[in-house]
Amino acid sequence: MKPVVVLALVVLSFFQLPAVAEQITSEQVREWLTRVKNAGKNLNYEGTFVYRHGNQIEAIKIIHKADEKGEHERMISLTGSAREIIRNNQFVTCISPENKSVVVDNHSPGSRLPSISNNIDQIDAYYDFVFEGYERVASREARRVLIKPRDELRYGYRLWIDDAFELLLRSELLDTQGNAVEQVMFTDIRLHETLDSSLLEPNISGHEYTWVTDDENKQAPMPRDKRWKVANNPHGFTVSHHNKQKLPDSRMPVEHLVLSDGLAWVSVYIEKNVKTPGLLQGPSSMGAVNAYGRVMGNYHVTAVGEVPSETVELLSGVLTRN
Amino acid sequence: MTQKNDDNLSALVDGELDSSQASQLIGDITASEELKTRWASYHVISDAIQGNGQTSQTVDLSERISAALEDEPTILAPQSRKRVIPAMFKQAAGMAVAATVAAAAVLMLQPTEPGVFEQGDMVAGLGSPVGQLKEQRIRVNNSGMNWSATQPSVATRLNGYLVNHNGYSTAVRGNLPFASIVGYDESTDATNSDDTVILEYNPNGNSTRR
Repeated sequence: MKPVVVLALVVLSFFQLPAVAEQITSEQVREWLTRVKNAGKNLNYEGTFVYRHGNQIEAIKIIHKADEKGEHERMISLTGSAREIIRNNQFVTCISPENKSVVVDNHSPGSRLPSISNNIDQIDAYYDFVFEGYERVASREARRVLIKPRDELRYGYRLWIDDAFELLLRSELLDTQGNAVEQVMFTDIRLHETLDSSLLEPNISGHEYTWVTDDENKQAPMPRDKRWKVANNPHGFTVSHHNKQKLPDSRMPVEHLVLSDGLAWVSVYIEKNVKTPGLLQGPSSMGAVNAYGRVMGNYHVTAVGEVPSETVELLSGVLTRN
Repeated sequence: MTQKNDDNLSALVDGELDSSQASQLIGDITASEELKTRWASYHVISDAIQGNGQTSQTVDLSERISAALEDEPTILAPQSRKRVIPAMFKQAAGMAVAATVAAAAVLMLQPTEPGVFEQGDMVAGLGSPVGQLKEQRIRVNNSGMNWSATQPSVATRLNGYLVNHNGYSTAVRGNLPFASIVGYDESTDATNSDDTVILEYNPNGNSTRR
């Protein structure tokens, strides 16, 4: 066996934030965040980012192109099992060479996102915004912003926004102690005037692969049960969505309500059959995600979201059915 | 200092650091040219795995990585001329291989017409037809994460909720649309369902490669 000598690592420089940190208004942050979204959609770039959740780190290469036909994107996992995702506007293709499978999904998860800007007053009431100065990320100058919750019922965020192009370069989800529980960070990014479309084509030919389309979202909309209500916007959480859908793992459709304070999102799922196997009783967590399940009369309710455990417990109990 | 950093990197890969330590280290990594070396290794690991598709070559992988590093222009500490694979790269390689073994990406299908593919749309850039199936979903990779204190059946249900929920919850991630590529631990009970059907695509069927 070869002797293993540790590779010496040199940290060439540490970044100190400038002493100047000015208070900025929520309005300005809203503007920044809105522009971050647009920058992400409208720019051509390629780069690599790392995603840390819990104690796991993944590295993903991304190539993003915007043209008159819309958005085109390719993501390749560089760590763990090989995965590749190609997105053309709403059309998502997931390729897993290991499992020789290709899944085609005719919707973009982001397409259902409520706009953050609609909730600015709501956000203002529960979070403070602090501009913390400039810091370098992926060799680029970035504005560092802290979004700090005013109570312990929600996580905070620290964001690094590219100063020139307003792309989000780094993002941290902060627990109630201020520890980063989830991070995404570009380690290198290059912006381009144009990108060759060939860069967005997958490496595989598609032979010998299992092909499937994801019809999950093509199901006919089911009427929601309007008798479910959440009264008095508990702790600033209001219902932003309510629908009824059949999840892949369920035989019966579930009632689904999304509660949000403008930044944090909690889903509440209501199962009609309390005897359904696999229903959570009490708390559970995975990384920064907390869940809480309980029986409410003839129904079973589970709240899930990237919020503290106290919050999912609270929000699993705020539903009433008239 | 450098020794400590390297130990920390290993610990980070092993998941032994707490949040604040990990956060600090990631910050340090950003500010360091060493990242280039490290990054090269990630590519080597990735290439090795994707190229081989083998699941039991930890040692070979390490050697390949080691060889690749020998060929890299060095970005090391001036006093250190030794070029040996650091512990973390071995760890990373081992982890990646473990993930390959553990990957539970089984297609769980509940087709209304089992086993029947119809001529479908062309997938962008792939030049092959798409089978039409209903109510299936992919079991993504084993990320090593799992729900605390739950039975496998509960974890499966929670994963279903979470995947659905993620479509609603990425507001501040802006241009970092990683959620869909990152898997949750789905290694449990995919085979427990009577409805589990694994279909093989028949390339002699509707294949229309360009």
